[in-house]
Amino acid sequence: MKNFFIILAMKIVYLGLKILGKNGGNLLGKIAYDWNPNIFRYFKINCPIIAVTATNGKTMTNNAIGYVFQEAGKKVISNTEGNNMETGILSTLLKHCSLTGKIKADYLVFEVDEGYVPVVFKDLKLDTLVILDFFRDQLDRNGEVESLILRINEFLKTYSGNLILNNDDPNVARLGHANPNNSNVYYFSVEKYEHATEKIKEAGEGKFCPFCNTRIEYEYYQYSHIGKFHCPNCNFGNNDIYKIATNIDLKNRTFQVDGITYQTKFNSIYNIYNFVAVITCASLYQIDTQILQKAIANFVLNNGRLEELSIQNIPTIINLAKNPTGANVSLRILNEDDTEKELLFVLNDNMADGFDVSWIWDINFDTLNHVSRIVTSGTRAYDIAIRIKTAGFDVHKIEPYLDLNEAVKALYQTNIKKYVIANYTSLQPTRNEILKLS
Amino acid sequence: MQVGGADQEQSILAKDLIQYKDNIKEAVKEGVFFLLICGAYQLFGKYYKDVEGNIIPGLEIFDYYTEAILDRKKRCIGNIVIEVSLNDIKTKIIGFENHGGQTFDIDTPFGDVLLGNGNKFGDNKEGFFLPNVIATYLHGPLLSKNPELSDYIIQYCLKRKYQEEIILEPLDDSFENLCRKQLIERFLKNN
Ligand SMILES: [Zn+2]
Repeated sequence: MKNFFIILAMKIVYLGLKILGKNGGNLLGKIAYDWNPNIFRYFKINCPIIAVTATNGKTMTNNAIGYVFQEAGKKVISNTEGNNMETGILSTLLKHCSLTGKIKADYLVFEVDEGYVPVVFKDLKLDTLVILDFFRDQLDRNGEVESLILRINEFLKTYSGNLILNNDDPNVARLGHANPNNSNVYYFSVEKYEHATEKIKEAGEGKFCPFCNTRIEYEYYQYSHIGKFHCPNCNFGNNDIYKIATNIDLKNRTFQVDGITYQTKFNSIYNIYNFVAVITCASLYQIDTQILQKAIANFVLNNGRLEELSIQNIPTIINLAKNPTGANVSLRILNEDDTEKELLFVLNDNMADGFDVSWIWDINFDTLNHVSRIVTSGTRAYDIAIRIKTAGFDVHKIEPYLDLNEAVKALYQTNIKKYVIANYTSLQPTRNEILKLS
Repeated sequence: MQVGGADQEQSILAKDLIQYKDNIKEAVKEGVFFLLICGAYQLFGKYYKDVEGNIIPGLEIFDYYTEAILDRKKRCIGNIVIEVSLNDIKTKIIGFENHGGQTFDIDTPFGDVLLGNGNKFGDNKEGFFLPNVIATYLHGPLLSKNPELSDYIIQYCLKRKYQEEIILEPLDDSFENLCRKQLIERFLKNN
């Protein structure tokens, strides 16, 4: 009975929030979870639950999977706004359930924070788990990424649902061994692309085999530590690949899987990985290939995540970077574009960003391709200016402004193409400041 | 069992370095400059006692030792400002600290804490200092944030190599100075 009243109370709160025009974020889940942390058990769910987890790319992949399934005519419930901890997922369930906890949908698709997979799916039966990547940066002094990989590994030991893993990330591929009895492990990969390198280009961790401690060998690196690898001693990494993207053409934004060409609105190697994960997942649920092709061609994220705008007729690309890998991916896109451009980098150090900004030293600012000027802003405008200066960029072409409005004004003094990189709390303010000019 | 990641690499490094213990001791005595940050700072001491009470031997170059805070969730994390004296000139050093280890038995600290924790929770001293050794919990990164410290280290090394006082040609530190001014004002405003 207790759960019934919790849900009733949350429905009333939700109604109140709606009247006030508020979404509430994870508020409902927070209240309900405090009331009864076992409330997940109460929901009656008769459809498959698909979850996506990773350090980077969760939101995009989650939203793309949801979008594909919707385009295939399925009813999808998903946490598309990125509330991805247990309380966020609980909020999504509370908003969509009946008073008896019934949820009517064809699929539940959730983006789940890396740390919360074992918590959320202790009581919810997971049908498919997609794992994209795990990145560690120099802020991870406490070995937190390693311990969260171990926690997910522990969870997977008794999991026998579909497991979709990026075979080009050793941190992810190792999880395929967690439960040797699980025959539903599907590895995906991306064929070597034009800008892949033999040596790691962005700062990366020294990589040792998690099974035998031997140094892992790479045939090539696509970006960061993502690439074709294997352990020369125990053969870790040599898996049968279920789906592989081939003929990567970032200029025309196309790639192929199983001989079928996919057109996308994205131009980064990193997005190709996300899309192969989406295609793998769609294939497990027999989504029609034509629908899949069309959905992938139309899929966009209009929230400052690789968003392309035209401001006063000046092409502008905005991307979020909350960690070095995110920033390096943005710089890769910039460097793979041969036209002249200017960069705005906005760096805040608010609570949600993390107070420690030393991760910017893991960003590769060496040899920027045709960048004629860099404007920096945010509460750490000078820190990022110093980082860029130290990489060898001409100091006279760097303009730091603590004030964001001034920075954006200065940026649009010229008609040159703009790339904008902003970290977590600076993204929306930066986007708003830029949109004011249009 | 699976091992991996940061701890795995740290222990590979420590095992490797311990073979060169005597060479390192000799180098310190001869005045070779050492900048030791965080884990390296701890490693040069007598030992590190972890949360379970295991003693991980250090290189025993210096007499200090480090103990983990028993509460795993508690760490000294945050922006930190200390005041140090380099060649008898007082200067502020800014950085970021993030450590669970509490370092004891320091006779010659690097600086006085103006904001942050230092060697231990709520300590008023930070790091370990000899003219040729700076051991500290500050990163941020340390050198780009603190040009005076970089100059001190460069000058020390040049003097040692050429046996004469060398005046460094000034570089354009305008961003660094603006950054320091902004952050010191911001950090010490509420102190
Ligand atoms: Zn191996």
